[in-house]
Amino acid sequence: MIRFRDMPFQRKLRVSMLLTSTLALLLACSLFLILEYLGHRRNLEHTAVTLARLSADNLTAAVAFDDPDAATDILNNLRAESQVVGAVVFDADGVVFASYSAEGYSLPVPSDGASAVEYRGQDVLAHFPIMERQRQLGTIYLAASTQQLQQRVRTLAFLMLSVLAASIALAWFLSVILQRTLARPILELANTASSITARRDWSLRARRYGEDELGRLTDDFNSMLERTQNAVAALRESEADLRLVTDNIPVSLGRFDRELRVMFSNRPNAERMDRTPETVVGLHAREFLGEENFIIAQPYMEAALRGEHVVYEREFHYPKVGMRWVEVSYVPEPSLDAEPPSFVAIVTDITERRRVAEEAARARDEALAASRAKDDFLAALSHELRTPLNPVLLLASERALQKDIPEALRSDFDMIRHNVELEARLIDDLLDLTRITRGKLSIQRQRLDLRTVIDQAIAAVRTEIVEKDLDFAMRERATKWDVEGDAVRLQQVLWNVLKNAVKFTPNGGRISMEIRNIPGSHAIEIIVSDTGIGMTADELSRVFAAFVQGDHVSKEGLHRFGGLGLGLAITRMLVELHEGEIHAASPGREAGATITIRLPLAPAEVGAKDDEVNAYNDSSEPQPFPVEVPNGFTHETAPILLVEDHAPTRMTLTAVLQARGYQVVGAGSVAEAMAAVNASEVPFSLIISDIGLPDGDGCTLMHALRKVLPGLRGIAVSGYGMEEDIARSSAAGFETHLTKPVSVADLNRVLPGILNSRK
Amino acid sequence: MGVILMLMLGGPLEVHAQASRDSDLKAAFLFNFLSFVEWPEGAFADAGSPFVIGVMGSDLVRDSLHEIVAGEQIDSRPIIVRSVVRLSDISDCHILYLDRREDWQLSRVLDASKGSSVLTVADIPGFARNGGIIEFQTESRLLRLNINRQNARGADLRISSKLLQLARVIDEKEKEAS
Repeated sequence: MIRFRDMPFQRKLRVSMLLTSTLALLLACSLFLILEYLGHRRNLEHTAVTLARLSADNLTAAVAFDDPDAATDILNNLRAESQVVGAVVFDADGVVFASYSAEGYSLPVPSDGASAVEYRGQDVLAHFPIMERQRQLGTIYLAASTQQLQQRVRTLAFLMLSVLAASIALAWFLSVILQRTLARPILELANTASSITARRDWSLRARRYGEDELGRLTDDFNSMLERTQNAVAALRESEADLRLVTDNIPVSLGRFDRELRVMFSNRPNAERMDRTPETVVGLHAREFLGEENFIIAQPYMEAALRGEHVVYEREFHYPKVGMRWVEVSYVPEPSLDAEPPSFVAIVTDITERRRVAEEAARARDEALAASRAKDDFLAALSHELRTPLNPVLLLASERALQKDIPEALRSDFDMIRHNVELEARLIDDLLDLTRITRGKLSIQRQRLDLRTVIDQAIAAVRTEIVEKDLDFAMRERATKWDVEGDAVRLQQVLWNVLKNAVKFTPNGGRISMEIRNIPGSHAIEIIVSDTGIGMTADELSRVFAAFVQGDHVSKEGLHRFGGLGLGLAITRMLVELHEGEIHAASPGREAGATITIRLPLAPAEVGAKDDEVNAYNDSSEPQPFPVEVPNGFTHETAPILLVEDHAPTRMTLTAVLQARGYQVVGAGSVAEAMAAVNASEVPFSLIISDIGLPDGDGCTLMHALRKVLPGLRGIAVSGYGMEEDIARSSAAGFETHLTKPVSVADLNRVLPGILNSRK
Repeated sequence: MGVILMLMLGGPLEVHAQASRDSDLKAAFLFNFLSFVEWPEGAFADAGSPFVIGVMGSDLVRDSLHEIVAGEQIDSRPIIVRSVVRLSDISDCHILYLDRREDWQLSRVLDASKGSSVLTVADIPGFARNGGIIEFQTESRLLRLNINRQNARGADLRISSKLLQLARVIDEKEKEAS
């Protein structure tokens, strides 16, 4: 048996209607029957009592005057009342006086002291006293049958059952009709809903019947469908949009759920795996990526599912495109839980990027190597070019000062010296540049008074100023002069600037120099202005670039001013090494130029200036030194060991030293030096050694010799680019370090100090 | 507690030929008349005045009545039974029974009752036709009543219709016509 709850709606409706109407009718009929029965019974009782009373009243005389016949006559009148089936009259003594009974009816036996009405079997028994003038003469008992009543109730019940049956039939019939009207809209709704579920066709609509609540419900249902249809359409559209966008980006996009199953894949992602986006959804990552790739990706995927944002680069195998380098990013879905429900995989093919980057790195390495090779070549070239100049310069300087040779010859030597110096300067510039660019130039900082440096720089160009008949104006407005810097390099800077001004200013022009402190900043500024050829804006923009000269070079068609264009480039680098700035300004061609150098001042210091002699504290510009050459003077000292692999330089130096009265033993290599030491009868007191030697270096030599000759003193000589050698040479025991080319002045200055300070 | 009637259960009454039985019945009838007859107000001295039943010529009836009325009251009036010897006492009675043995005094008794509301009762045949009001007539051993309504009216008495239904009503005009 189906439970009511599970019945179809139509049947439920019908059963409800039938049940309701049947129950209502049954209740009404029953109530009616009971009321009817009770009413009739009361009527019957009333009739019985009334008839008993009436009879009692009529019977008084008959009883009083002992006339049973009359009493019987009166009782017989009761025959007219069909319900009365019997009556009996008792006299005051309780003796039967008269009686009446309907046919076939036996009179009931009255009970004593009964109430006015009592039921005896199917009968109503009423009794009433027979009274006259308040005297009871007797009692009448009257019996009325309920048979008629029962008959009537039975008939009524039968009629009602008939009505009930007819009503139920009618109700059933009506329910069939009504349920169509009532249930149809609901069934329509239910059918529409199941059709939509089955066919996923959101365009279906439920038909509406009537304007009642069900009609409104149908309208609401339909409008809900409308909205759902629109939402579904919008969703599909946005899905299509998403597809359109994601399918056409060059990135592989995927989304995986907690079971590592594909939730989404854009077209490139699927196609790399030789699949289509539609067929990959639901695949496990192992199946989608392939076992080989999955083993690589799995730990990262698991990390992503722990909420980490994972990025890694790996090489994966793709069925369609082969081995590819990819950058993979797993972005966990934002979630409040510790474990995100999914993550998005963004896979970028970086194979090409890596190839380009590798090529770029290789190209860069090659370029760097080439640049290094160039620098090395330049350094080597400069060194090789410079070395042969040293003996020439030494000899020319020596001879130009030699008083015992004719004046004209000395002048020639001086000319040679001057031009060799110019060439040496060019080569030095080239060397400086290569050393700076290779990071091999270090500056020796110490506190110094800029005025000294400036004076020396001016002294270096004084001859030319005089020669070109230039007007030189100097304005010193600074109050603080101390800077921390390398005196030699700073002098080089100023000399370069002044030399340029002199060089580009025609005869009779004017050069002005101004030095001032800058208010509000702890710096000193040196401004050099000239009335020379000036610069165009274009020239200004590259005035500090290396190997660049002004347009005048080509325009004039001849190399009027000479030089390699390195001066200002080196100057700027040196200024910047001192944390300073240099600027050039010019109103234009033939309008003069102004160079401004700004250097930071040294921190305020009370105390004496550092008197320590710097290793470089020799003038870059060899000064014409008015030293008298001590001719024919022999030092009573031990011989000097000169180790120099460049034979001409060694021979020249030997000659210069011998000219000063020193005994000199020359050696071209470490081996020769050791041999000379061993061969010498008198121990050497001093060694002058080149650092770079064919079969070793000066430092190891010195180290070895010191073991043999503990008191040996040393002067190290090194080429450019060997600043780091100074520390090494000091450690090895050299007291002084000279930079090539060694000049006569160097020797005149250093030698007496070392040799005379001996104890 | 007087037993008024001795009625046999079922069937016609079996009459014992006993004088006492007869007189008892008559005494009961007399007593019952008090209930079925109305006397005028003037028949009583006041509201508490008793009914007076006078008996002439039958001590049996008188004794039986005494038994019956003992302790009884009708309309809150006590009942007195007395033997009437003198004709002058008749007017004081409300009911006067005249036994058959005294029929010689009939006319004198009727005359004495005239002008008073006295219900005259006798077992003298023809009594109702000859000036009396109620006549006891024994028929097949049953006691029947003949009532002259005219004489009753003449005595200013009203007899209940219930009583009249049981009785044979004697009409003077009817008598004259026959």
